[in-house]
Amino acid sequence: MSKTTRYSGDEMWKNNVEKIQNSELFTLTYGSVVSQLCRDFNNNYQEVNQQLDRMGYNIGMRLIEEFLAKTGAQRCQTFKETAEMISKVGFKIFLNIQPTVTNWTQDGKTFSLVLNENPLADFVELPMGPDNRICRDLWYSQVLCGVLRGALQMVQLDVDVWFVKDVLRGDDQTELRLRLNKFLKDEVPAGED
Amino acid sequence: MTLHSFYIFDRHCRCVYSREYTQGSDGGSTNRSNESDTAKLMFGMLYSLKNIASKLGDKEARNNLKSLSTGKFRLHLFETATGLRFVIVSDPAIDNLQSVLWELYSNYYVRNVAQNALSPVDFACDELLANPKFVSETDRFLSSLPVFR
Repeated sequence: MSKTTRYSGDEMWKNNVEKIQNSELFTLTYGSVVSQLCRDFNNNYQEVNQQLDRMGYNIGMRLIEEFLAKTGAQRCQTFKETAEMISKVGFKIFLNIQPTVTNWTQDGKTFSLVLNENPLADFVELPMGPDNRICRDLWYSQVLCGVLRGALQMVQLDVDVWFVKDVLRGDDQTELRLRLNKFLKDEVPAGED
Repeated sequence: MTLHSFYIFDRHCRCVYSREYTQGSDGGSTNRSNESDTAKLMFGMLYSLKNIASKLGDKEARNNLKSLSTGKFRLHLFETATGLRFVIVSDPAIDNLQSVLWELYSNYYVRNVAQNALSPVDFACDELLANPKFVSETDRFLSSLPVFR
């Protein structure tokens, strides 16, 4: 982890974060957003995933500022460092979980975050329809992908984020993947390039 | 000792907030000089100086530009990892305002802009930061500092 961070994620969660008194309210609110989207889009789950992703992106763009303000973190030097920062500090201070960073590709540009628990999906069961389409198509916690994409883009990392497994679908674990497309260049003032 | 003005530039290098403090009763001006040559030239100069600073020495050691002074003024700069730049123009006698700039960002900006769902964060090309609460709270904060007047 970066030495420039003032505290560990653990300490910050304990001392420096306003916690929601009733985390069930948070979980249930998210659940009702997802179910409303399913109704609004007539159970077109691909569209629901996209909407959740977009909502997450807008959240991420704002959340990154709070993250930086709380941690005093500077830009990471390597993508490996970014991965550690996301898991040990980011997820820790906002959701009090610490996903495992794993399954790096050879080129060091793609890795997985395995969520051992998922506060968004407490109490949730996907309803089993006759065709089971919801289990094939809906990524219930897709908002997380959007949040990561939005937050990282603000620190000039262009990434793709997607779910590959979700225990809600009957998989053995909940896993999302991050792929670094490129480091974005800081913009230059007009007339300087 | 005096603080003269306060600017915020976004990651698109645009001046989204400018605040001039005058030592009178009129309270100065807000968002009047965002497109002024002064704002643009000042940004360009800080931008170039920052680049020069980062090219001195090896890459690992962060050599951030914090301030620069002229005969009658000192410019203080703080840049966030998201590319926002906070700039204060003061008297040359005030030598370090990093903690003030950090407070303006981590407290006032984050609470009134980033966490304010109805305020833009990635400003479009004609949008300015004109959130009244941000203006009044930062005014109060800056004017309460011993270095303000």
